[in-house]
Amino acid sequence: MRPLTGDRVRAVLAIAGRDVRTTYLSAFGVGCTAAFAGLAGVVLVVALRADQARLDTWFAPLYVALGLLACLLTTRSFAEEERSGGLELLLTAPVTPWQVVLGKLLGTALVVAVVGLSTAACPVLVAHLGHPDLGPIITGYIGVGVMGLAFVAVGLAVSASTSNPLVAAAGSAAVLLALWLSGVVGGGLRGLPQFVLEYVSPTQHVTGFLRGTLSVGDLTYFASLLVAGVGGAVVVLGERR
Amino acid sequence: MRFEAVTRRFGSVTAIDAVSFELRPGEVVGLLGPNGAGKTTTMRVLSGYLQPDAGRVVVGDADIATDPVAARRLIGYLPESASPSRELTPRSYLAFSARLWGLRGGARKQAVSTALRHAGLDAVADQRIRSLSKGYRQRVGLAQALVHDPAVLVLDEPTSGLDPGQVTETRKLIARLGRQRTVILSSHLLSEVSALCRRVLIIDRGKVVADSDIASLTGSGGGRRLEVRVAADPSVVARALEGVVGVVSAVAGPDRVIVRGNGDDLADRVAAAVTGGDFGLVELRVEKESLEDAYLRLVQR
Repeated sequence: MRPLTGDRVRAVLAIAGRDVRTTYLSAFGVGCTAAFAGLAGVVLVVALRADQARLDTWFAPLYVALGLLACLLTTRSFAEEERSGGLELLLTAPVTPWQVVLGKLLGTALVVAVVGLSTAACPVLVAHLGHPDLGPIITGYIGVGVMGLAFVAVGLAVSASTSNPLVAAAGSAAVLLALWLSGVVGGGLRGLPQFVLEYVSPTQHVTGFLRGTLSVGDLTYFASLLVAGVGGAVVVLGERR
Repeated sequence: MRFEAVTRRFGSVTAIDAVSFELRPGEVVGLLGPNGAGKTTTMRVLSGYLQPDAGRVVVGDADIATDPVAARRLIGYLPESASPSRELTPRSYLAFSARLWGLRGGARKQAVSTALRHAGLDAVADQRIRSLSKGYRQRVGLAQALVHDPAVLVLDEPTSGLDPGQVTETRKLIARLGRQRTVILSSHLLSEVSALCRRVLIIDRGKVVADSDIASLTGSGGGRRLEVRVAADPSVVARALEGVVGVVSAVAGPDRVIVRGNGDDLADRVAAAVTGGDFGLVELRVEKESLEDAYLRLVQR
């Protein structure tokens, strides 16, 4: 990978900017954001009706929805763009696969950030109603960002490997589900298999964010997913040539 | 631009096999071949979208395998199924393309407006691409290929799917562009290649079977087209002529047989076969081979 300087950074930003614009100029982007914000609102209302304004139980379903959102958003990154013929144009521009993948990652991450921000009214409302601990709210949103990036990277790697958007969405969901289920399977085992399977499951690593703590181990786990996803997408794009 | 013994395989299938040719500055070259001959693979390797398995492609001084970014800066590419971002307008899409090519500020604005003007897109520059006709969308593809003012244009079936009026407009545009830069275009339409190109490359089953000026290919290529009017049933005569040495094809019409083949004495041999078979030779006319005849002769043999 060459150092990202000058024109190379500008190309990454151009790809990211184009992807954000095309996402929000379509009903798809607006619909995803509205659906996520709506889900956040419904979960909060349900919690309030049960006289519980706990934000840890509010973030937990959002993390699951974040996985689904990453699957949907990343289908457009490569699979949909290849099907429409746009990817061929992009890959014949003077940009490297690294620039393309980083641009796509940044663009999708910005959409995830907008989606995350669209839920901000919920904690503000809870703060208005009572005196919530700010720690879990902040770490909860850090979790949305960190996990969103990692899931998007995994989705990019899957999306880069197919020109079929449905296969891309299903493939990303299958990978994330497999990671999630590895924790369940690991719970029934003992020794090293249990440790390994539970470690690769995101479930193990989100509880800290929900409780208001940040651990290097959890951040390292999601950073590893991010690097594996980005590296995988770059390798897949290179192989296609 | 040099294409040196380039081979590209997809699994066990060899799409192009040791293909070599050179594009000289300022020429418009047509790439012809039947479906599956390797045209699109050739264009994709030329554009840098695909890497060759063997051989090399050199653009200017840059090898497309070792210095792809520098090589691609010299190439403008229009894929067969170009579909720019449909949510954007032609102007914003071209601005995005210009950013990828490293153009900034005033230079970018200038490049975008020049590409819009060259491609005849001024009137629709601020409409969403999704709302444009196929012809205009094809022009947006052409404009993105032009936005960085490349020395070489690689156009894969640029008029595919357009209506006759749009085909004429697009051909005029390509002819205009070809005055200032090297253009290679692939097409199924021989009339299009005849109208736009002085030189053709014919590719068949992954190999170059002809690389020649159209004039020399049709004039002195050794190919002949004969019109043989006969008294007997033309379909019977056609079957008999298919066995004559040098005949590539014999197609029966209502009252004549069209024969394509090779060799200076082809007419003598055909006449002998018709008279020898007692088919009643009424008229035998030798015609200069057209590009279509040359193409059929080369890809059918």
